[in-house]
Amino acid sequence: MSKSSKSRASKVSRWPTNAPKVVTRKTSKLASAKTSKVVSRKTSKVASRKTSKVLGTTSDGVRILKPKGRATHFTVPELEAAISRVRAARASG
Amino acid sequence: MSGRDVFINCPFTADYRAHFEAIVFTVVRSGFTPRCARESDDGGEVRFEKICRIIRECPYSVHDIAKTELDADSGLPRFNMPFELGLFLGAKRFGGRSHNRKKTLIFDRDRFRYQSYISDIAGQDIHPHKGDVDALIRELATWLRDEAREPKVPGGIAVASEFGKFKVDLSGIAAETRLEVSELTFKDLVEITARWILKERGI
Repeated sequence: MSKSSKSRASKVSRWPTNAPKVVTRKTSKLASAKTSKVVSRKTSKVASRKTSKVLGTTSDGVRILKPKGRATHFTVPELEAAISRVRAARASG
Repeated sequence: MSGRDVFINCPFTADYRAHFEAIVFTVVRSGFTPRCARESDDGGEVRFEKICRIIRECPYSVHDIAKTELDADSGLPRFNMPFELGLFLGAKRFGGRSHNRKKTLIFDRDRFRYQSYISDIAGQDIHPHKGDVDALIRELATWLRDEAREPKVPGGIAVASEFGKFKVDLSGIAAETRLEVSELTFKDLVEITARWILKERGI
C-alpha cells in the first residue's frame, strides 16, 4: 500500500460510517458563506471609518487631512478670507 | 482607529502655548491629524472617559512630560502628563492586537531627568528639547517623517522655518476673527493651521 492510500484509509476509519456526509458539507458551506458575508460588511464599515478625508495637497506632495470637528469661532469662508488678508498684508510689507 | 491620528499629551498652560502650537503645526504639516483632550467640551462626558476614547482611536502619540514640576501655588507636582502617558502605554501593552502597534514619542526637558520622578519608563527613548520650540519641531518632524515612511514629508528644519511664518500670521488671523490667540480653541487652531498650510504651500 502506498503512503497516500494508507493515510486516506486512516482518515476514513476515524469518522463514523453513519455520519451524514452531505448534510455536514452543506452546513459547512452555508456557515462559511454566512461568515464571509458578515466579515465583508464589517470590513467595509471599519475601512470607511479608518480613511481620513484629505483637505488638500501641498506643493511637496504632503496630503493635509481634514480636521476632526468644525472650528468653534468662525466658518471656513471667514477663515480663508482672514488668512488671505493677513498674507496679503505680509507680502505688501 | 484612524491610521493617522496623533494623540497629543502636553500641558495647556499659557507658558506652554508656543510649544503646543508647534506640535499641532508639525503634526498637520506632516500629514497627520492632531487629537487631544481639548478637542471636545462635552460636559456630559467624564474627562477620563474622553481621554480613553481618544487614546483608543490614536495609533500614534506625543507626550511632553517636561512640565512635571511643582505647582507654585499648591506646592504639588502636576501628574496629568505622566498619567496619560501611562494610560497610552497600558493600552499598547494590554489592548490586544489592534493596539500593540501603537507608537509613542516622549519629550522631556533633559534626557535623563525622568529618572528622578518616573523611573519605571527606563528603557524608553526620551527626546530632550530643553524648552526650545525649534528643537521640539525638529525631533517631532523627524519622528513623524520616519513613521509616515514618506520622503515627501518635510524635514524638521523646514517645518520649523514654516512655523516661524505661521506664528507671525496667527495673531493677525485671530485678530481678523476678533479673537486673541489665547481665546482660540483646539479645533480653531487645527482648522487655522490646516487652511494656512494649504494657502501657503498648497498646489
